[in-house]
Amino acid sequence: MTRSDRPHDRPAVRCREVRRTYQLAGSEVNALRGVDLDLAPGTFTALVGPSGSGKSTLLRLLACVDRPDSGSIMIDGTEAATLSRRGRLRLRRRTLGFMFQAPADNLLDYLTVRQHLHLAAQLRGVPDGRDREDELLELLGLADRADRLPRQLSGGEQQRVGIAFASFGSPALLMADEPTGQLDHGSVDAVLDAFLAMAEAGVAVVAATHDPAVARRAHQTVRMRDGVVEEYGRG
Amino acid sequence: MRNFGASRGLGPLRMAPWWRGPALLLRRGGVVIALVAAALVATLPAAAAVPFLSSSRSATLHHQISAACQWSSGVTVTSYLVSPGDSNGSPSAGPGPQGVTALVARRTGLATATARTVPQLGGAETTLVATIAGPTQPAAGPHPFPDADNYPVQLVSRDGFQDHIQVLHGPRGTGAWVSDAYAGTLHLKVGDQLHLYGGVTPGGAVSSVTMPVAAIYRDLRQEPDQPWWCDLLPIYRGPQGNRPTPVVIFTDQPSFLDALPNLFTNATHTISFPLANPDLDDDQAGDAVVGIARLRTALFGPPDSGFSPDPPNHSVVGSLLPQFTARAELVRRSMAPAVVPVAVAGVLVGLLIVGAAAAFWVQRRRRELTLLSAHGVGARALALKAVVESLPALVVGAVAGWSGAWALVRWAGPDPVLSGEAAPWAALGAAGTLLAALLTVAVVAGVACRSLTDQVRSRHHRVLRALPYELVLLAATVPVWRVLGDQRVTGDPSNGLGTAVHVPGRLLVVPIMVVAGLTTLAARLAVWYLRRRGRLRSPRTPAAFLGWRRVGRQAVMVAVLAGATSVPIALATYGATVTGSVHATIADEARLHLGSDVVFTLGRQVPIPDSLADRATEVLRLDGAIIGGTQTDLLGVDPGTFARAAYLDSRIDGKSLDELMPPIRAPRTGGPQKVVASALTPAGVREAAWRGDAVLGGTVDVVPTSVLPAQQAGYPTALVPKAALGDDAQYAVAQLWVRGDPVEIQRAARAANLPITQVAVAADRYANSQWEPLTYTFDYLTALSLLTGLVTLVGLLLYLESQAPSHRRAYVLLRRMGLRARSHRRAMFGELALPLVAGLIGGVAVSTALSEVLGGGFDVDPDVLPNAVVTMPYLPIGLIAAAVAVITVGAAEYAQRRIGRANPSEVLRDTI
Repeated sequence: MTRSDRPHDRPAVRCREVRRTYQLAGSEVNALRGVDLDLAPGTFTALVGPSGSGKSTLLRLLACVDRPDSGSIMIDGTEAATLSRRGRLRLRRRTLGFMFQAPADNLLDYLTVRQHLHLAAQLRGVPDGRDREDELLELLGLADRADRLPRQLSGGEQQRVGIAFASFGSPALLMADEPTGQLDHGSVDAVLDAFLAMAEAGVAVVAATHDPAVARRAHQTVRMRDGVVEEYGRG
Repeated sequence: MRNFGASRGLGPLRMAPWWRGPALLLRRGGVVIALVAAALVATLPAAAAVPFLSSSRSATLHHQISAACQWSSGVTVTSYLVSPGDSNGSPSAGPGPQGVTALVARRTGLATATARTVPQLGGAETTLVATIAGPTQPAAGPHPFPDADNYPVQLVSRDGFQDHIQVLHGPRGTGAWVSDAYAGTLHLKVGDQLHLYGGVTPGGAVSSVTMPVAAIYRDLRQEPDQPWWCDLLPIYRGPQGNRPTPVVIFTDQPSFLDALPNLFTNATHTISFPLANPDLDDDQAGDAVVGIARLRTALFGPPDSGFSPDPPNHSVVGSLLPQFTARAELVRRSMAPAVVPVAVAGVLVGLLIVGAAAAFWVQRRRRELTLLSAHGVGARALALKAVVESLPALVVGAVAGWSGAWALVRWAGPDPVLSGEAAPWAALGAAGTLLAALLTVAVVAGVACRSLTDQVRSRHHRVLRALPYELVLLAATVPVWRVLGDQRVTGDPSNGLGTAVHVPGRLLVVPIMVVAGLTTLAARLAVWYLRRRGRLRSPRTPAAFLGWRRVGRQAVMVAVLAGATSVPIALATYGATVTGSVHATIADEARLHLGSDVVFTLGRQVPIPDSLADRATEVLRLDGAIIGGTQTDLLGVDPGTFARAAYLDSRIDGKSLDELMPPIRAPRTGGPQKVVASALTPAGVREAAWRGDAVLGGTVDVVPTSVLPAQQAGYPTALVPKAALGDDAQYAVAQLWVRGDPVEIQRAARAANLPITQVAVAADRYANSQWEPLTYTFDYLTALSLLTGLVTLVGLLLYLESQAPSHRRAYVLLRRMGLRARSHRRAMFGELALPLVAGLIGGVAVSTALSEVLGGGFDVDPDVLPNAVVTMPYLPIGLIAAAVAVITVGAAEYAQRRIGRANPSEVLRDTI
């Protein structure tokens, strides 16, 4: 479950002078004002900062659901800032993984855990197989939950299945927006373990969060304020 | 890594979210109902159009068949039976009794055998009719009628005649069956011998045969006419104006054939094959018509068949069925320009609802769609998912629409009999609409899904979205108006089929385009206003504030709902205006032509019965008078009651009948009698004469006006006090003109035992088959109006269902903040009332404007006065408005009750 097919010396994400301004009710909101960011493969990064600092906007740009007004966003060697809609879609499908805050939002309630992995393999166009699924489930501590539906899982388990679903096929970048926001303390550790496991497997993991626990266990923290990266730090 | 594209082609169908789609939809009951209802609404008009046209054609066909003599609708083969005489048909050298009998048998056998190959024809009925030169007389008595030639006797033989007359005496053996009236005249009784006189023998003597009186029957004229005798009606009733009593003597066929050669006269031999099933459909009628043409060839082909169009047989194969079928097809063809646009409009409205249902599907499946989109699934693949999920519901809706259309046309259409083509065309219409619905779902879902996780908007995209495409539709109305023309009549009056009058297609097509274009434009402007300005409004009450904010947030949904309400209301109101105006115009034209709603022509002057006194007037009609050298029909009227009971549209020249009365109400003061005459009759003091003699004192003072009632033969009419006719009144035809309900009037007239010789009803002018397309179109538009209510209701349910989760969440929060339930109910009412009332007002306004602009074209008979009478359908509008009000209040109350039952703990966990 490693990203051996991609060069390790190439950053998973490289942002340069990324700017994004929104037009809201006749006024301009400068959400990002020249962000520079590098994320290496195999690292777990916590994106922290107060509300309105630009975390979510940056995450949206990295997830290719929005485009910057200016600047460059290289994801796994591909310039995402100027990609067409189809190009962004292809990048999302092959290179990116994304997780929403609510555990239930990351799963399809009618699929079992294993069926999620099967679907992820189909979506990414990677060969699936019971061995690969078992390997990932084992890695995330979900081996005995393979045939359960989401409603039969706890919130933490659901979030870990979400991680498995989003990262099956080894994407270059796995993003999570407040991944622990709706979890209890016990579940948070398990989810962070899962993130770290994915990072060890070579995936660059970035999580926007207010949770100090996430920042503590991340390999690095990126603190944002007023639309710029204020500080890099160690987790 | 394989190059697998989830958004390409049908590849996604291998994945669980797609192939499990149909089952997944079942978990969303509201969406299922919305999709089924939307597909039903869209499919129904598409599937109903062809069956409705087929039903109209069947109705026209059956109307003609039922109005015609049953023997004429099938096939009649009529030939001569020539008695001894010359070869030109006059009696000289015909066959003897055996020869005649053999000829009749040969003809009947051949015709019957051939007719068996023609579909839909029933069994043969043979009728023999011989006109005998003079009267009969008792064998022992004197000749009762010296002027014998004026009293023809018809010797008739028809299979089964005994079953269709009332036998008073007898029968005893074979022989002559004479009527009681004739038996009374000749003092005949059963068993008496009766001389029948025929033509002149070669020796110069009057031929005769003697036949016993076998039975005496009740004269057919004393009984109501039976359909079975319809073709012999002229024989026993006699031609119109024929005063002498016709004498009909029935006899059995062997007796007839024995007697005929000895009577030295010819006979007609008619073999009739009535339709076995008068309710046949168009396909069956077409097969029968082909068979009838084949029968003609088969009968006339063999040289010894006994049939030929040449002397002495003079055979004629007759059938009205080909003409009926052609006319029915003419009516169907004439209706298409009105029905097809209406159906298309109905389908478009339905597809609008399908689009709303698809948007509803996206909303209810947003979480899953967002997740899939985040995993790189494109809008096309999500649109495919929408199609796969909605397919079963849409199929069910389409089947329901098809079944509903079929049932509605058969149950409420002009005729329940539909041709074979109706079913496949209806299925094709349903299938086509289903495909269009699937495409609509795909497009709407695809477009909606594009914004789920990819919110990049290019300037190009924004510009394309902002373009007012509806202006193209509005601009296209001008060339379409010109291309479609002003054809009001289909058919060629000279080809025997007559014409079919209909509403010009452009009066329906162009308004549909205008309604669609204006509604879209209004919706675009409404969205713009609600988004830009709506949020800036700050109403004082919490209810208004909440309602207004919700409307502003759901601007597109509100505009769609208003449009979905407006379009069908506009079309239904306009349709009702067109049809009502056409109806009113024709009715007024008919009234003006006739003079009033009902005109009784009386055998003599009688007092007006009390039951009609308040709405009737007596008119003495003296046609053909000459006033100032111009032929003018004189109407002797009662100046006191004429204006009340006669009809004149004051819009023609601005004067009512009452205003025209003063000249003839005023007492005569010694000068010439004043008359009010319509145009063409010269004004001023003129000479007046009738059949060469002076009338009205010889001179009249003509007060001119443009048009008067009852100008029936193209001549002007003149009103004169009936008292002024003096002795000339005895030559006038007495009429009673009555305003009101024709059925009720005729019932009252019958009850009063009026000596009526003729009844003319204005309504009959537009009730005959020439106007059938109009009548049927009215029916179709009425059905569309019913569909209007369904469309509105479905749209509203969709809206409510889509808003329910957010309303529940908001309500719980607002209640905690102190909002009262009553305020929330008011907010709900306002939120619903705004689009519905806007749709109602907009729809009625557009239809009113269209009626004002296009009203001049609502006269399908523009050569006849008065011109178009535009009548607004106030009752339907009132009913629609009431329905909208009830639906708004009911829906608001229903929604509030649902929201009010929300469990706060569940609602706060609700994530759609």
